[in-house]
Amino acid sequence: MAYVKHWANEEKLNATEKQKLARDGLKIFEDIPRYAKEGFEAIPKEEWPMFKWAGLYLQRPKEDGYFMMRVCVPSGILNYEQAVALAKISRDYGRGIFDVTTRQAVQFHWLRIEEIPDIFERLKKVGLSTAGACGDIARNITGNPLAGIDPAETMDTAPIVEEVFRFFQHNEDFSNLPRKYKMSISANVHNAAHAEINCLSFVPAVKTIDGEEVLGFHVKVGGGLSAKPYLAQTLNVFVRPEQVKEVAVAVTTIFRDYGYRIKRHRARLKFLVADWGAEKFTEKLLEYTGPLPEKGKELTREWNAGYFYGVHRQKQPGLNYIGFNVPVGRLTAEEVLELARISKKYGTGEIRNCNSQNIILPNIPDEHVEALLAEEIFQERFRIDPPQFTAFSVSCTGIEYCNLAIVETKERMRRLAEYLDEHVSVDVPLRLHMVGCPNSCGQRQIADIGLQGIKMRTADKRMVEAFEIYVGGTLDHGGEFNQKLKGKVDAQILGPVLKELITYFKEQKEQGESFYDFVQRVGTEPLQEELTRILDEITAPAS
Amino acid sequence: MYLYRFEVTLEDGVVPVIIVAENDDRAFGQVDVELEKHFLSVPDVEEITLHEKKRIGKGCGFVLQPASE
Ligand code: SF4
Repeated sequence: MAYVKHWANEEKLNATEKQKLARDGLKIFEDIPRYAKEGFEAIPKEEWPMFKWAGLYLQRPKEDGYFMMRVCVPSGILNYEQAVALAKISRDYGRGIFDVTTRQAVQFHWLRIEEIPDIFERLKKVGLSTAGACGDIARNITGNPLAGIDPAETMDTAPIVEEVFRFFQHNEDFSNLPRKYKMSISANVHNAAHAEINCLSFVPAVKTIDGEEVLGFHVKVGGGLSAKPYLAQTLNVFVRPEQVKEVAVAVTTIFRDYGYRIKRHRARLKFLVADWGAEKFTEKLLEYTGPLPEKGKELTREWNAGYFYGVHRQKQPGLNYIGFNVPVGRLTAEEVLELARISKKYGTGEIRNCNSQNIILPNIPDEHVEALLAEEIFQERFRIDPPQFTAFSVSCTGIEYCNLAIVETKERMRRLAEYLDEHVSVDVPLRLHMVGCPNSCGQRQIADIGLQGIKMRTADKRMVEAFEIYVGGTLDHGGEFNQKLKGKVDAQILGPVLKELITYFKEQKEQGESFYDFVQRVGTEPLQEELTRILDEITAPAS
Repeated sequence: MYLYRFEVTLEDGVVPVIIVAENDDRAFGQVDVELEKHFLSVPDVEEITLHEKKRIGKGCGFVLQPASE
């Protein structure tokens, strides 16, 4: 070890910290071949949490011994061989389930310990890995899914992401962080990587240095949603592209050495940043990096929320990228194989994952676009022009896999979006996010309209699933969380209530005005009055 | 077992109620019991709402904000 764990003698360390001190999380990789031979029963219960460092979680009920596996995909970019290898793992071992995550990674379910060594072998052959996909370690680095082909990027960040990702992979100097640690590096001017909700993010910026305009990055630290959401703060530094790794290492070192380890619930970087503030954090950073220029001008323009539907020109003349909707981020192994085949037939075979859980097929020459779009898989299932509400709806896992869910979400959100698509249309995208409890797996706080589940028993003893409505969230202009409206909406009338509320917005808004801008202009009061009126008017149909 | 956070709407306001129970149904039932124990004469309950639950490990709890309407 090249560093001293100065916290090792701290008496009040939490139990997880003690376990991490006794044995580094990454060491679990050494044990997996043996456990695979001996079977699930051979794994001591205390070892279960350490599997996270290998990207493995036990599904519920844990005793059944099925693992969920997350594979890192830096910037979400998969080449043909990688896409095929992942699809085949899902087909051969994972009951054909292939999930794209909100951090551009890929997730499998239903894996047995006996199968893990072969899966690791297959991943290694194509340059993929699960190290750091979970656990108190630098996680999959998210970035611009259009890196290298994006007319709206200030530079190609794929090589930078790759360099930083490779540095932290299997690096035992950084595998014992106080808590999970999320990084994003993107030069897309539409904030495709959701900078403000990462622990550390690099965003596009420019600065005139010695009379020369230099393109580089600003640095934001301390963002994160979870139960207690914070938006990242910008440090007063300007970072040249070649310095990104050095700054990432410095910030991560600060987190490792100064982050809180006594109370696990205050261990995320956001708590340290909240205590120190941006100024003190900048000073500390400069101690590690030496002098850096002060901030320049940030180049981020309006936020695209990670959506890229449709056929778009790449910065390479004659080539296009095509963005498809993947309903709730879930594909089958066969579908991924088909997408890879199509991508190779018409382009270079790449598939790119978005943090909106959708996919992009890049490098399609002009003359092949039409033939590609005529492929059967794009007629129904994966659309470039999904209906408006289906296109921009997000849901957390909900009651299917989550014990904390108070109401059903995923299927309900799908149906709700379908209902709204049939009954109302607006001239701007409206992002609807549904969550089944106050946690934020479905990023409720940054939605235009956030829906949070509750369960009610009414005076006449009816049990009712219901929702509270939040309005006006965004990551534009540095970000703002949405605000709660008073009133609880019975899930059975959620569709009609939202239809009315959205119709009100449609009638009152100015042309092209986004929902966020509308809330900023008029405040939440008119929406509150309207919701109260709608709720008074509509009564739940008898169940 | 889970720790549950409820809000109970009475005629004259909203009160938070915290319950330990093994599932949602039992938790709702326990709210009735706790209300009966707490009030000499139980006021009219307009609505009981479950907002959050947490798995009970070695320790867990809730911070109660002033109840929302
Ligand atoms: S938001 Fe709540 S209900 Fe939804 S997946 Fe997360 S913990 Fe579960």
